[in-house]
Amino acid sequence: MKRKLKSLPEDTVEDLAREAMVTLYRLSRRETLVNPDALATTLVDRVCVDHVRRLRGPAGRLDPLSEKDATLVPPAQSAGKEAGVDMLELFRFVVLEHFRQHDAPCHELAIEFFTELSWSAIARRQQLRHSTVIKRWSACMEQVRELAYAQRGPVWEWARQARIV
Amino acid sequence: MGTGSASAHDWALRQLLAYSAGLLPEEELLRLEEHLHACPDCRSRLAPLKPASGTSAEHLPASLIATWARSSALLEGLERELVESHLEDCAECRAELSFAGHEAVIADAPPDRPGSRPARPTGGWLHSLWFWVIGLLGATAGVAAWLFAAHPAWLGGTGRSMTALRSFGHAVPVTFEFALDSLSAGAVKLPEPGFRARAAKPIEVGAVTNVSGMVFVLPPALQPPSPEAGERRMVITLLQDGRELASHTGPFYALGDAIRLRPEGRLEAGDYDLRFSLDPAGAPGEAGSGEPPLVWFYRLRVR
Repeated sequence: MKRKLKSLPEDTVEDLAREAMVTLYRLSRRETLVNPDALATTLVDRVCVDHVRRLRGPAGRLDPLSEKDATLVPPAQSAGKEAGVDMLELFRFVVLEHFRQHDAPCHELAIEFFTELSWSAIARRQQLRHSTVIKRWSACMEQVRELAYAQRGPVWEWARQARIV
Repeated sequence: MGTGSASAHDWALRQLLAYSAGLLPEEELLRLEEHLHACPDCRSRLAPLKPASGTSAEHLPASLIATWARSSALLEGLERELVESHLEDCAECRAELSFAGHEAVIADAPPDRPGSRPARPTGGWLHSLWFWVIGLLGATAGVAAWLFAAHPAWLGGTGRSMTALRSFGHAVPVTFEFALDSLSAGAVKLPEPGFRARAAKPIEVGAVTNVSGMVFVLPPALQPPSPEAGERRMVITLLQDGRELASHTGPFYALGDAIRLRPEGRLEAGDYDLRFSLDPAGAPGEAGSGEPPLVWFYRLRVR
């Protein structure tokens, strides 16, 4: 991790290492790991890349970054910043959990979309028209927008700051 | 790449985050997915936003678990409740927290954080008291709404109405006045709202004080097209940074041609959202009607 990311504070290294280990542990509980060393290396790369993207702000999540071998340089203004939560993932979790408790059809759609990120693929699998699936999701999305405007807290603040609601 | 496709690509790049959060409006979803189909660059940027293979967005993010002691303390309101209830149900997430060396308990909010508030109690007498208060407020609001609808003169004497409003945890209580003359001096004409629009360009409203408040002339979309539509329930809410400052519930017809927003004192400079939420036809508050309310937002910029 220290090789991959330049001048990382000890605390951040520890947080990121823990994040990679939690993911590895999560995967190991779901399936038998064939090559855990290689997987750990891949996860460390991914965690480092994600960390730099998070430091670049919401839009920075989409920046293309080399994931292999290259040293990553965090943005200058982020010096000393701790590793934080992946807000996009937390946002998705909160949306899914809300639907799990309140709206089963929306929950099902949200799980599929957050896993696959393609409504056309979901429509194909459900043997529905693309526009039908999107229309169904739009009704669910309105609930999320309502929450985003009515609720406070870091998840909703992030969504408003990222201008996605 | 031609200019047209370059600008389409730039547009698509700007939509990818909202898309990945599931929040792109319906009409833009189809257009973006068409673009994604043909654009390997956008697809490659989107790929890292998928959950790692074998993991699911249904569980607490690994980054939250890794930084649990610090990060969970920052959760507030609904998000905190959802994380808490998930933990109660999910043995896997509890095991992962334990693996990472944390207890499966959300840390208390730091007391000195501006805007922080204590976690809502999860049980016991305080919880019951909270429900009693909500119930009592609901009943009072119901009686007031009935009085307002049936006997507007009782409340205003002239047919104009002023409604006392809730104000949550923020300094300036605000009232709304309805059915004003649309020719009021200094009135701001609200544009026709986009259907379920995203936050639009802010409307500059200058300074807003209790002397004259701010009058907004409503566009046709915010006036009932028929007497039946006039009976539908309209909720008007003023928000700042997502926090509700004031809210009013009443029949759609009561809005009239123009409304006034009047703070007690001067409204702090900054951006506010004025939300209009109209119940679907024939189903005021009916459970299971299926239709979501129609919602319009205006972003107000107060000097």
